[in-house]
Amino acid sequence: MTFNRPQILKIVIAIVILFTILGSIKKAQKEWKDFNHNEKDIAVQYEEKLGPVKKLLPPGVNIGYTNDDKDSGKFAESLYLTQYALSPHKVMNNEMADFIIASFTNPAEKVQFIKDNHLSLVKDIDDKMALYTRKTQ
Amino acid sequence: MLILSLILPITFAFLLIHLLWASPQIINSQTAIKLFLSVGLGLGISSLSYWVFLNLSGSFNSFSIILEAAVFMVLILVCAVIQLKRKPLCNINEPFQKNEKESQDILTWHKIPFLTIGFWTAILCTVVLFVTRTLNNPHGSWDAWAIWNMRARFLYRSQEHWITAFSSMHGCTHTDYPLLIPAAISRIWGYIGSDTLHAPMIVAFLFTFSTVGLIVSAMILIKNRNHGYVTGLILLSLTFFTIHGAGQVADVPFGFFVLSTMVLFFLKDKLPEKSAVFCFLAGMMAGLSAWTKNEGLLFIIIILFSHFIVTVFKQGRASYFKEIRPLFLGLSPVILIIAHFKMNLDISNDLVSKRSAESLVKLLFDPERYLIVGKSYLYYLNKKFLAIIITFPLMLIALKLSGDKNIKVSSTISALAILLLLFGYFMIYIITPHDLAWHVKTSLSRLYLQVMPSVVFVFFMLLNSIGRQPDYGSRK
Repeated sequence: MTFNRPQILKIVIAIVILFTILGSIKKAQKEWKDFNHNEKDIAVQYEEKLGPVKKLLPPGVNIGYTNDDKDSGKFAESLYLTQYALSPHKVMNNEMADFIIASFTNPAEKVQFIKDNHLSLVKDIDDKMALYTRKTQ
Repeated sequence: MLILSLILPITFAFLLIHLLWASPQIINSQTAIKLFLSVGLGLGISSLSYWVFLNLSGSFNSFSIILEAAVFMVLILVCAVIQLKRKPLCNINEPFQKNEKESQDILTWHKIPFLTIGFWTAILCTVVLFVTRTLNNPHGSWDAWAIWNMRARFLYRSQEHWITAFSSMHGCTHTDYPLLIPAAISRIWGYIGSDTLHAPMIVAFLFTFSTVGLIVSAMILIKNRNHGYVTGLILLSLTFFTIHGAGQVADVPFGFFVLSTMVLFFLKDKLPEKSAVFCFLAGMMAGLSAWTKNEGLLFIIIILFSHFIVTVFKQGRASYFKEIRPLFLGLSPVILIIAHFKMNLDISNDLVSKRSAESLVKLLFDPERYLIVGKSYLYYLNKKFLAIIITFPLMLIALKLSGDKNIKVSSTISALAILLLLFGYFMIYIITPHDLAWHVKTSLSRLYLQVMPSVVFVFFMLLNSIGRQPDYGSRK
């Protein structure tokens, strides 16, 4: 069985149509499933948990950010998402600011960090993350 | 206010293109291509105007918004009056009109036009994919919230302290990145009065589907309807393109401006009487690519070089000088604003700043880096663009290369520019100060995405038209 050029063309176009439609439907189905069943998008999660924190911050104040996961790629993601949610407040990668957002998975490290930096709790953001302020001397 | 913020610059851009192109009627076969070009041009002009107002008045406040809207309205009025007062034009667009006659549905079954139905079904499915992806990630992907939407938020929320958006002291990355997307979004928020997520979503939607619309309408105009639909289908088959479009990254708008520049070069070849107009618009689009991403600066150098080499060798120096003036005229206002942005703010680029010549030479002469980047180029091409690898050779067999002399110059300029752009990206990877594997992994597929609409467009421009029976009938 041999094909001439117009036949090849028709077959290729038919395959492209099928491939395009099925590919889009398959991906859209996956996205819809994720939307209904999986947990929320990470940026939405940060927006929701940091929204109330933003209201507590005085205008123009700088915020420090730290966590105990500095070696994994998650640190940058968490820092940028915190900055994105709290903008126009500046969130800096250090512990020197008057307000600090810290996220610790290890409770012992969290206690030590608060003690070392003379911090007091302003608000618990979730089970790991909290907003602190520096104790006045 | 959302609609007003978009309709004013896009209407102005449409009337400007329509005036310059000088068609006899406002609605004709070129309306679609003018409309899709004007979406990108309008959003680009609006972001430039936002930057100008921000710098002149210190913030984009209510007064700036009223003044900007008034300026756009006056410009629209002026364009409309000139259009109305203009003498009736002779039809210079004749080369495009025969295409409609030769267009017939190539894929029919019992008189059902499958190609047309298939194309519009694919568009519908792509819109559904875009919407579901956007619902899932309303803030966009990593690059959107870490760079583009973050910068837009700083510009809008900081008000008169907008300069903090460019401070490298906080968790704000790539402060040197140009502002087309953040400024366009922040401007819309200024009009609405709140930083709703609808603005970045709509900007992303407009650029994604204007790219599809532009490629299809340009192909319909220059070749024919069948050719346009098939080209659009190939682009739509890359779900990666739609996913990134919905991800609100700047690579899709950048790809739009690269594609627009090339489309305008092809139109210049098809309508030589209007070459100055198309060169002017191509210059603007190339300039806007550099206002979208830093890669645009490389694209400008490459497109100017490719245009020089190909035009001088194929058409002579006189033709080159005739075209380069309007090209620079379109390019220069955007370049001036980019220069103002880069020189007046304390910003540095992570790829070029603080590098010694010695360290660059060391990287340049490391053969292992070439091997890693070369392998990655092939890996990501195969991984993300398999549909193109499969369909392109089959299309080439089925249609063969066209011998259309009218588009030889533009196709050579475009093909050379695409190759040089990919080569330029390759060399940037070689000298990157970042971890090479990480840099390639996080960016190469998006760089491919930037050139892919143009690759699809140029490839299909080079083929014989689909539906012209004598072309392939005689080769049976």
